[in-house]
Amino acid sequence: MMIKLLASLWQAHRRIYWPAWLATVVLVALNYLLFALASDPSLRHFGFSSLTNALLQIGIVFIVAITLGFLGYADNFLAKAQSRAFGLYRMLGMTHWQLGGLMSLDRFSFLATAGLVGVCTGTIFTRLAGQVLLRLIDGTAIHLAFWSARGTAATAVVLALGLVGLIVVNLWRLQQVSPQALFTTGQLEKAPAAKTPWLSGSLGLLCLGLAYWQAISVKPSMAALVQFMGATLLVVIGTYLVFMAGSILILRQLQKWPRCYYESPRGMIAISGLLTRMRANGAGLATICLLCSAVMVLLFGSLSLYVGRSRIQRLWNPAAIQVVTPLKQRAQVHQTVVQLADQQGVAVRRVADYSITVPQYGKITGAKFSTQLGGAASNTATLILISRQTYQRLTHHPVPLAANQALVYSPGQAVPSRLKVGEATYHLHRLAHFKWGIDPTHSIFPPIYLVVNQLPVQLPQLRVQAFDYQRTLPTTKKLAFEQSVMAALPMADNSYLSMRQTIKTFLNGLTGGTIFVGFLISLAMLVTTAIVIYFKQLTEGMADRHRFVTMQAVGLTPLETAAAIRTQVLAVFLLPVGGALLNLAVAFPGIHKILKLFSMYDGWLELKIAVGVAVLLLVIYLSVYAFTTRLYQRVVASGQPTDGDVVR
Amino acid sequence: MTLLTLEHVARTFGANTAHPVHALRDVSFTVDAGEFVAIMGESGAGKSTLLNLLATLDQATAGQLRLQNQDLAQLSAEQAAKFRRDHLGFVFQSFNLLDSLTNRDNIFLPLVLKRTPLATMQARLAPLAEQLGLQELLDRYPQEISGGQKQRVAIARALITQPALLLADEPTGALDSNTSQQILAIFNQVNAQGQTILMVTHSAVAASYAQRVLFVKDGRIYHELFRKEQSSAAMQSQINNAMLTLSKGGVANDD
Repeated sequence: MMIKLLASLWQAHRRIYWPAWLATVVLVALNYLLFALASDPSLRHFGFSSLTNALLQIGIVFIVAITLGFLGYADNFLAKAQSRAFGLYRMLGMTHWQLGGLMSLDRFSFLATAGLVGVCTGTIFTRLAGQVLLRLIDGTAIHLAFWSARGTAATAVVLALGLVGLIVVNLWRLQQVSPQALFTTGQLEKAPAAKTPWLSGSLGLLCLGLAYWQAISVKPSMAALVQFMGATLLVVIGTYLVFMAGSILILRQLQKWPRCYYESPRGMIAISGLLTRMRANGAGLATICLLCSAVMVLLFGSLSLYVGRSRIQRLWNPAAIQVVTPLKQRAQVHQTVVQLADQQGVAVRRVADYSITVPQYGKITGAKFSTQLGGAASNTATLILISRQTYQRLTHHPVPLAANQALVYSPGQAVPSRLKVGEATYHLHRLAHFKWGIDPTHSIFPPIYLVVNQLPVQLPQLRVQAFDYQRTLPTTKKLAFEQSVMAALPMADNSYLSMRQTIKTFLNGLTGGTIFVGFLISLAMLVTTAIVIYFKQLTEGMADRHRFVTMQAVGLTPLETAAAIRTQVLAVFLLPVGGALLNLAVAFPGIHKILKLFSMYDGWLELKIAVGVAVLLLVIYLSVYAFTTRLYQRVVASGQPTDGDVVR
Repeated sequence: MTLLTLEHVARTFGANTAHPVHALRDVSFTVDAGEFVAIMGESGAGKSTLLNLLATLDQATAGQLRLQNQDLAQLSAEQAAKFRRDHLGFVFQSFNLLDSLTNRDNIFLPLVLKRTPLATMQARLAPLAEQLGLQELLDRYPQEISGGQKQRVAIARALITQPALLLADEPTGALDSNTSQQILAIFNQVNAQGQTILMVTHSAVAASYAQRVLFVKDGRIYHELFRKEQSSAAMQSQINNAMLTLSKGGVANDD
């Protein structure tokens, strides 16, 4: 009998069950995939695999959180939809425990079947995903097992946690309400709030304004990440408040505007409908907005890093090996590198050998560069000086410079035309390109290179030696050689090493892992967003069905009905994506400045990626919107008088 | 002057199936302007089908319905909606007020659909609100008022378009007896001002307020009663007798 009741529940609420079940399958597959990859031993045996593994672990945390959050969200809809049936069962004599048992069995069968199909789906895609990850991180071959016991067990644990949570919450729900209330849950309609939520609405707008200002004004400094996190938190709070209260504030003002409200049926229908809806569904719409924002920011950030990694490599390593040491160690460095190369059959040659001043960290205020003592959080630049003679030797370009003149190469930030450094003030002429304009320390502050006539005597100097070796060497041999150099060189204070292949492997692991995990998290969030939109359309269609029938009875024509539905649905569902696009637009300068911390200075490339990501999300969003709008229209239309309704 | 004419109207559901349902068969009657007519019958008699045809929400399968010389069968769905908002007013058993609108906006709704200027809407609302005692309720929402008050708002919504015909579907079905009497008194009051009303009801008390009662059974008009100068109580007694006769399967004599 229980099975029959379960089957009838699934049949009666198939519009909720099946989409939720399918989405759960996808999320379970993603869980399995990440668990399987993270636990596979073959992913632990190549360069920086620990970094890739750490990224996979971060991905797991996000995916598990999204999965559990989604299960709770979908369960809420299911519980509302089932309340009438459960109320009826209680009225017919089912005990609380029998009802709890039925509900538990229902949730168990839902998760067990979704888990089984999800793990099978994950199994099918794990090898493919492993190969994609391998390509992205430029790793050596991996041999993934066909089926991962650990992945399955970990996924089962997540689902079991979800199941226990759902059962506890639903048992509590059943305990809290009477059969009559269960029977009527979901039928009660709420009037729009009588009071205008001035305080929370204004607070929401203030939070958003503050967050946007913070994101725009963020500087590429150590404080940038913290400031950006703060802005993100404010955006989350502000978005919820604005969608829940700020929108009511705005709609109330529109209601007071007769031209907008009373002179067009569409205006009145849309505004009054939105007012009711924003109160009930503001949080849901805010969630959609934040999920879309998160997907775009995540994809934008990780794609920018991935696409820009070769530029970072070029910027960090114009030569295969760069060694920066105090002047006195120059000969020893050269000798060690050549000796090691000879021992390992590597044909090495020194391609550059020059002096720079010790990098100074500071910030430019007006036309003055000032070094920060104990104030690292506000630093924004690394200043390095080289002499005119060195520059001419490196570039083979003669440059006449007066004593108060300097060439400046600053790929990461704008500099004024005049700059005071210490006691000297220089008139600056910009250089578009300088191959050796590197920051040997790889600090997060963009380098500013000044080419001056004479290096200030008070500034200590360092010696840069750059070596190249044959590019055709196998990766493992390159890494082995570089690691032997790293181990052999005496690295004292003010000594820096930068190895191209090592850096490349590290960046590939970092950016490839980030884009892989970022894509999976985005996929999970997109699936969740689609389901949130779907449930919204479904429930709102049901809520609006009666409204449109009444309006048609008093004279709303079919064409006007269709137009009103379009306006209303479009307004409701463009709000979140509009908000998300605004969030991305405002986050762009902030992310651009944070990417500068990773030596990504190509704003134009980032802009192209941001636009691409926005277009991609819009296409996906509008597809979901088009599909779910048809569903909404079907639900609303199902309330029209039919042959079956009229005989009484 | 004849406002509404029905000639041999029939409505069959599932006509092409093995078991067609004949909801209305050969129904003919007229309603004069200014009349208050009640239609009574058991559940399934065809009252609501008749009301849906008059409300242009459904189409007859045979016969002709004319309201103010407009053949209702000739209207497309789009024209029917416009016809409804121009010529008909509706009062429903479950009020059908929109929870998302204030009572004022609920009353304005049919006029907003007609794109009536706000000043005109306000000018029409003022006397109606006074007559129906709604002044204090206009800025509240339907959920915040009682059933009787909701029905008064619904009546105001029906009357604000100054319709040729007010259609009421069990207007007291969801109300207690005191409130029902208040609503029926309002119907009498607006009828006295010249409003034509056609009311479908189960209630003999409600029907006794009408000038004429049509009895429907198995999709046909079986009987007709006129109130003339009778008291409400006498009319009610006659209605009860007629209903009893009908339920026993007989045909009462016309008054």
